Amino acid sequence: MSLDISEIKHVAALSKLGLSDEELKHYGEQLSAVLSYIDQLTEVDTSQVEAVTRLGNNSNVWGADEPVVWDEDGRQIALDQAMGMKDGQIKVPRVLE
Amino acid sequence: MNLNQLTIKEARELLDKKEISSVELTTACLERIKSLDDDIKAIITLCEGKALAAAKMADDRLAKGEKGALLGIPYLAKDNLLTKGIKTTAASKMLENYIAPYDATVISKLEEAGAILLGKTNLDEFAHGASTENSAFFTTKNPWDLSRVPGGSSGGSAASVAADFCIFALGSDTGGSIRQPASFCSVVGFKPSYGRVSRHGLMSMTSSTDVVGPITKTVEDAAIVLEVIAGADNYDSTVSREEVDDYLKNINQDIKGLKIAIPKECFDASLSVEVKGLMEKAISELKEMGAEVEEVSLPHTKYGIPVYYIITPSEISSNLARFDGFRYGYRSKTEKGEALNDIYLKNRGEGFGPEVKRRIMLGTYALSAGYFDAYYKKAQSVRMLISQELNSTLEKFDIIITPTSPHVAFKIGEQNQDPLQMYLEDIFVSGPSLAGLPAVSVPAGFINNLPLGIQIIGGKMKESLILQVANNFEKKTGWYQNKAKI
Repeated sequence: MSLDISEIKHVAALSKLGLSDEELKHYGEQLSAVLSYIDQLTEVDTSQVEAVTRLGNNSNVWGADEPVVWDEDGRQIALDQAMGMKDGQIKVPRVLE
Repeated sequence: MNLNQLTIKEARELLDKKEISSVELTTACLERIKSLDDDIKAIITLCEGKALAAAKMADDRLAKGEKGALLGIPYLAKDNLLTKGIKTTAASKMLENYIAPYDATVISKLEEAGAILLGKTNLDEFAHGASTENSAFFTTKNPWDLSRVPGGSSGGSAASVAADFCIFALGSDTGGSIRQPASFCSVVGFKPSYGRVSRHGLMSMTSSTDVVGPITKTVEDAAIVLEVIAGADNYDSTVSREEVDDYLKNINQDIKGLKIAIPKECFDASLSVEVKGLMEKAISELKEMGAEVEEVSLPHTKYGIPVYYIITPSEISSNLARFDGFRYGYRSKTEKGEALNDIYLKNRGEGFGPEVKRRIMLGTYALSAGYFDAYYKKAQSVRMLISQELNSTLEKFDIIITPTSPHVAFKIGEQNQDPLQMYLEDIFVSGPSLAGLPAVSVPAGFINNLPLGIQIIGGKMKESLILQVANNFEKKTGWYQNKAKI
């Protein structure tokens, strides 16, 4: 499997990654090589296999839907990570004109 | 002997007899780090003040007669485990200044047990890699040869244990990230069964295989740490409710009559004569101890890597979507009026390193319309076959043994230009991850003065058994007594 430049551009856009033309070309080549290697999976007969997405035995693990009270310093650390604060609110850049 | 060289078991005895204090032990580790980490580059954040304060508290608890397996024992944690009030960077520019508001469950369990957090260790960015060369900050050096990688992604933790920076360390293993660096650094790396240890507060990479585990100087030490960090957690519903075993109970029992499977695929032509020789020697040691060894065929082994490099990037592409520069992470300089989508593109394009970008794109591609069945669903199906093959072998045999890695530590820069070559590092370690099985890498000798480990794989939740086998092997061979000369 080989990805042409329009495909790699499409994947980068879906991935929300802003890449330079040089990066697009470079990653396109590398990912094509990796996908070619991965293509060997087609030789495995999986017609009798059900693909499930979990391996554990746990199912329906229930828990009460209750808020957890954070301690004050944890709360403060979390708020300190915000890009800006004003009047106890998180301030973000304007994205709509 | 310097105090920082002690094992947990040795330090425990001396602490309990009041022959040393936790402050002395912690100071010895900090001094060692300060004198050598300029060469090794294993540490991202050192917490000297906090560590000494915690050691003082541990000494107070010890003075009151309190007992505890890890009370007063200093350790290092991989920098993808959240630590409240201490930077957790994932070795990424994206989280360079991130400070977590809460502790990972494993960190709080260790704190409660009185273990002393010395600092945070280097890794491949977001744990994507097998050498630490993908760290956005620096590459960690292998203490056995500073021109070589320590392995990865938990390379900082493995190098730290090998260099006696700490008494033990925590790593995380998604497809070999504890075992492979342990093999390269001649230390013990233990990957528990999926769901044996809580993932809460471990930065999500591949949620269906991620586990936290210990990297230690001896197998007994791995058992001691595992017993503290394992068990149910209300914050992680994938953790097993099964009771945690007493991992030391049977650890010294002999292994007479133990049935060992050796996959013949592990001896194919691609493996060097030296690695085959090391494996054969390990097998004969196990036979001498009374184990019965039989060759088996695991024909799906070779599909472990292609499956892993679909499943993992797919989960990464969704798990790393949260790093958008708004909720978390690096923010590019935005110009007024820039469209929201352009801000995302810049934040993520500038904040992530090459391997992270490759994996996000690979996963996005595998999950995208038109390719989902051909890649993701196919990989998930082959994963079932790999899992069934390992599980049915482990119904007939007690354990499976392989080399941990196909060769010894490679030179820095030797294979980081070729992502596919780097992915092949995971050949023996990806299977147990995909099947959620416990596995341990234990030192098994040296090839041209560079260490290599063997991997012992057990059935799901059979941690006790693989610890017992590894402990028997370690005691008989004594490879762990060799120390890197640095």
